[in-house]
Amino acid sequence: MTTYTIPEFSTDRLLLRAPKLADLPRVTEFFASERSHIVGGPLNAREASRAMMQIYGMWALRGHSFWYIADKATDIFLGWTGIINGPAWDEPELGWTVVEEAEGKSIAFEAATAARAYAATQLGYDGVISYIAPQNSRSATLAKRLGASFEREGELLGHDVHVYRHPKVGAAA
Amino acid sequence: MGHRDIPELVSNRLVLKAPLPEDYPDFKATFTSFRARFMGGPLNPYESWMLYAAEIGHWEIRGFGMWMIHDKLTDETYGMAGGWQPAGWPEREIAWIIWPDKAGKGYALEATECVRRHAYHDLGWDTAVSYIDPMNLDSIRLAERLGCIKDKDAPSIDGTDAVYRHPTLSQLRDTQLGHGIDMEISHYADPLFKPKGWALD
Repeated sequence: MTTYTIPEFSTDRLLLRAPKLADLPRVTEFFASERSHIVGGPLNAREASRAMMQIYGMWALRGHSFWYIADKATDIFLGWTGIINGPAWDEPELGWTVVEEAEGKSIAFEAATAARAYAATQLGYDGVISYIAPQNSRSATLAKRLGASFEREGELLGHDVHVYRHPKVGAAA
Repeated sequence: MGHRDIPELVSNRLVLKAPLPEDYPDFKATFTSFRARFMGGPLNPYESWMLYAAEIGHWEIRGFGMWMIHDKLTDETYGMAGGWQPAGWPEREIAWIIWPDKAGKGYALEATECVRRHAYHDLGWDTAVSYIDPMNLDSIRLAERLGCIKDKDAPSIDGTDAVYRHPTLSQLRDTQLGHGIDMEISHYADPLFKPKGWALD
């Protein structure tokens, strides 16, 4: 039987790991908030649980997906980051999302840096793109801080997006 | 129990296995078609892919989920059947979907009965329901052939679906109902038992 394993690893402050059922209340809370509009929300509890289930399924279907970002000390859910390449995607994308409490602490930067390095060295995705909504200036700022640069305007699932291109990091990591 | 631990279930003509990436094209063909109209579809390619991912992920979250239905001899896939309970589901559901061009051969009946047997005997479930769109006559008919009775008192998912309650293990064990279901499954190749007059897809 074919199966899949979700790799887990940590950074200074964070653990990048598989989703857990214990994360669901916080995931549901995030998707209920207006903050989630950038990732298809707001969603109800049922849809939020499906979003969690999809993360597992993408690992099975593609061999890559998102990790949940957890606080290394408390294991509390802080967001997710990783590689997604669904139908309608031009190519593999590095994505990141953090809950409000994790904002302004460089958590998304730390997690996305680690995920990008892992994807480049372990999964074979280097020099990937990130889709960023034109109005999402925080994410655009983070993309630039990660060394990515604006490449073109694009479209994803009916939304206008900006495509940022990350530098190749495989050799450096 | 997660995806890697999914047991294989065997019935007369079928083997139920873990849903795998290579099985996805048939799933997509069904869920992007009119066939999916009672299950939130037709879906676009992105939605269909994400739903398939969720079907796999359900195993990790709940420890049970949907199996891929294969022909025992040819390994061809016919649809999916299994247990389903994402957040917000009032209770554990037994669900099924058959690819449109494989319907009418009793595969859903055989596979779903096999899943129910496993749920009762191996997972220790004492009851289960199926949530069905009231306009989905094919599925209501199948639920009735499985011995289900409409449970008007049980909570539905969102008020638009009908709740069909499955018979318990004791209602199936060595009873007329149980024997009748076994007999229909064992004789399904006989066209005499083919339901007539339902939707053509």
